[in-house]
Amino acid sequence: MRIRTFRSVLDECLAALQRGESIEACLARYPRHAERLRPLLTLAQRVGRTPPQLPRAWARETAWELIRSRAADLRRGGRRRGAGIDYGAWLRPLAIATALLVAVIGGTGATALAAQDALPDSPLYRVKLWTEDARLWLVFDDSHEAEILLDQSNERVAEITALVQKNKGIPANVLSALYDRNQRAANILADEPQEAALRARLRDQSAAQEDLLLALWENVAASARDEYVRAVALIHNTRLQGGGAIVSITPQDLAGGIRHIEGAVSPVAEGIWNVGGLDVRIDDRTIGRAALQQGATARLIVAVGAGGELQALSLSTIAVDAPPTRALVSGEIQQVTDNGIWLSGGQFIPFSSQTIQTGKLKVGERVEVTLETTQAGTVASSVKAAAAEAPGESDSLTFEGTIADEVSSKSSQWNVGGLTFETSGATVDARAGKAAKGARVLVEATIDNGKLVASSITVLASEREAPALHIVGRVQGAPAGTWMVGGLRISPPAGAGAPPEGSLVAVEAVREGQELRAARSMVIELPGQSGVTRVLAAVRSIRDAAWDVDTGQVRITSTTIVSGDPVPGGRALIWGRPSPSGDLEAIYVRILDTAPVTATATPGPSPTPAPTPTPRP
Amino acid sequence: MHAAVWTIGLAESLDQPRVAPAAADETAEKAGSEALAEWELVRRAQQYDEEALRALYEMYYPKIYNYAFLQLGDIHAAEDLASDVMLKMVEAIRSYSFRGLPFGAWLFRIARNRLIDLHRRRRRRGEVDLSETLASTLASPQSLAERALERGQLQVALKHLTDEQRQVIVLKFIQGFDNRSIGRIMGRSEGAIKSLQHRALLALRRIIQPEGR
Repeated sequence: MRIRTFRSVLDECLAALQRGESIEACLARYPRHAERLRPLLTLAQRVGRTPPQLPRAWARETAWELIRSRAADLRRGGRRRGAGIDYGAWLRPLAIATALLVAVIGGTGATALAAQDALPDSPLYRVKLWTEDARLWLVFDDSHEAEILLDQSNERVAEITALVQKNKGIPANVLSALYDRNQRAANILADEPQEAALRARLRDQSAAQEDLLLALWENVAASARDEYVRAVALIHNTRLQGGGAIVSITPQDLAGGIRHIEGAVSPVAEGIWNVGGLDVRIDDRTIGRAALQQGATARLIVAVGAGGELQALSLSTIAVDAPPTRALVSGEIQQVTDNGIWLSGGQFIPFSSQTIQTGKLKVGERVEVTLETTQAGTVASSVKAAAAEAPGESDSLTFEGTIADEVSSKSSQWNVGGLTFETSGATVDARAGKAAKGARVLVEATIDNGKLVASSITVLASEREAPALHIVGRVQGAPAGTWMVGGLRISPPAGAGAPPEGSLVAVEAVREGQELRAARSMVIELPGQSGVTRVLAAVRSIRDAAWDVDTGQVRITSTTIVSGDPVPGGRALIWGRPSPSGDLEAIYVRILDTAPVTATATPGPSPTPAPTPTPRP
Repeated sequence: MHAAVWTIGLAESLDQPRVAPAAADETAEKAGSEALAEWELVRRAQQYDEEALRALYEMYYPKIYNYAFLQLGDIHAAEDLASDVMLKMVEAIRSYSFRGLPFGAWLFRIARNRLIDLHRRRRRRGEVDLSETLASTLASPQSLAERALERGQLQVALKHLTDEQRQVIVLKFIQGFDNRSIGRIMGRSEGAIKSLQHRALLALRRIIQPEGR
């Protein structure tokens, strides 16, 4: 009997598998080897089932144009190139560029020209990328190529910004192209240590791009999330490697999105820190980690992994008693200038080069502004045109209540005042205390498909009675003796008439079983009225009826309703109308903190910088 | 003739109903007729017939691209390499003659040589492959065993193999070539390929199923 080696038996079975035979049939022929054969055959089968990576359609078409053009040349008797010629040298780029130019200009010259202004949502955008590539094929100097790639990378960022301003989702193609330009530039510059200026530009450009992309998670089209996380991971790793790090983050680390967390930090375990109640991994992949100290208050940008785990991408420490770095203002645009906007009543909101504008800014439209205090003063970090929906359809909600269950970094659902909020993308401001069971929080949320989705959660310095809830939203109707406010069904106070649909109301309520029962309510704005501005900011000083808050001056009048006792250094939500004298005449004030969370009345940068030369409307 | 079995990708054949050993001859016969049809295409392409070139291009560009992508982990480098190989195909197709070496194996030999050139150039430049650093932290070999084998995981696992082991895994189990064709592509004997595939599978198993699962 001929003894066959295992190697030979394996080979026969693998060939049989290729012909379509089953693993079991093969094992039955070689029972003596079955135990060793099975895992190897199964593995071969799994490898064979791996889905193939498919080429991008436009790349495939571009290459075909090249082949077709070369074949036509050969048909006409064109010379074959010698076998010794290196296609990777100068002939190939020339051939590719020629073929592409013939294809693009010959067929659609005007199209190529028109494509130069195309945005990623345009059918011409593909042509724009082609022509950019064609330009590179004619560049033979590596440093110059890297420089052009960095320019092209900036062009991608400009396209992304333009899309956001048009309130359009960011598609995959522009993110993929951004990734491509950055990676190619990084690869070239890794080999060019003498190009210090270009390497510095790559580093700075990457930092700015990462800041922008991290702020735009919600603007990314759902179908482009893979490209987004890939681009962010590459840019972050370029920054890490520019700083000499050898570690990197992966797209999987970002699969669950991005969130911002502020709070006191304390160590939990090796590499894990608790930040304002949430456990976050802070390690060599965190930019700014060197500044981390136990007990410090830090501001983190955090990647949410596929399993909900939190990985800090960047970290900066902030002084405990510094003014809040963020304040929110919403109001009506009175004038748009090159460097900011005037809101109705005369408040000027200055923009910086980093200000993210979502939607077109038009006079008379409402905007929501996030103000950021920097060393240069207070500027808008984002300006968002309010959704063009009828007030009665608005389902945005401001909700104040107590966290009812334990908070876990891994669970994105938080129970606040008996309501379940989805918090996976929410900004968490936990400077005033940990986000933990029993903490009082202010939640800004919207209703999406019947679910409450939080956009921000602010932990309050408050010792109020836990059952008290505070709700501000638009009245959407009064079905069956109840009020619908911001998507919540509320039982009205005894004897109270329903406010008109579309009114903005504040309601103080308690929870009774499944029911929200209002104790008090007030109308802040009636439908048809306009010009009400909302401010979330810290009160720096109180002088009788004049309050100095982070975003300017607030005047309390005889008709102002103030809910709670104001504390200098504590935060307040203020609704009011800007007065001709330039301050905000308060209609309704909700005091959020019962203890100071920030420094009071300290001289510092003017919260609202001096008006620009633009004439005030 | 057995040489043309490569035209049936393993991934495709596994999705088909199981074929009994008795039907193997029929499979080989089908493969043979496919090879003849392809030879006819090649013959026309040698006259620079655009339709035939397009058919060959559609058939092989995605395969060469996938082959390159699995080893380079970079879509742009893979696109460049696939375009290069297809351009070379047009340039050199008249020198191809069917002497037992399937057309696909001929093309993959070009691809393999291009890949070697590329690696050599990169090494000379000391080029940083960012996709490699990404992939290296994608998952540890141990954690790979926990999940189904996906393209990204296969890519990571392939990086832990030697170049020859990687070639055999991709050419045999992804591209579906037989040992003889792989030998011609890699410049090795069929016996060497048999040994290589055994070692490659064992190594891959150690990476993907470290506890022998």
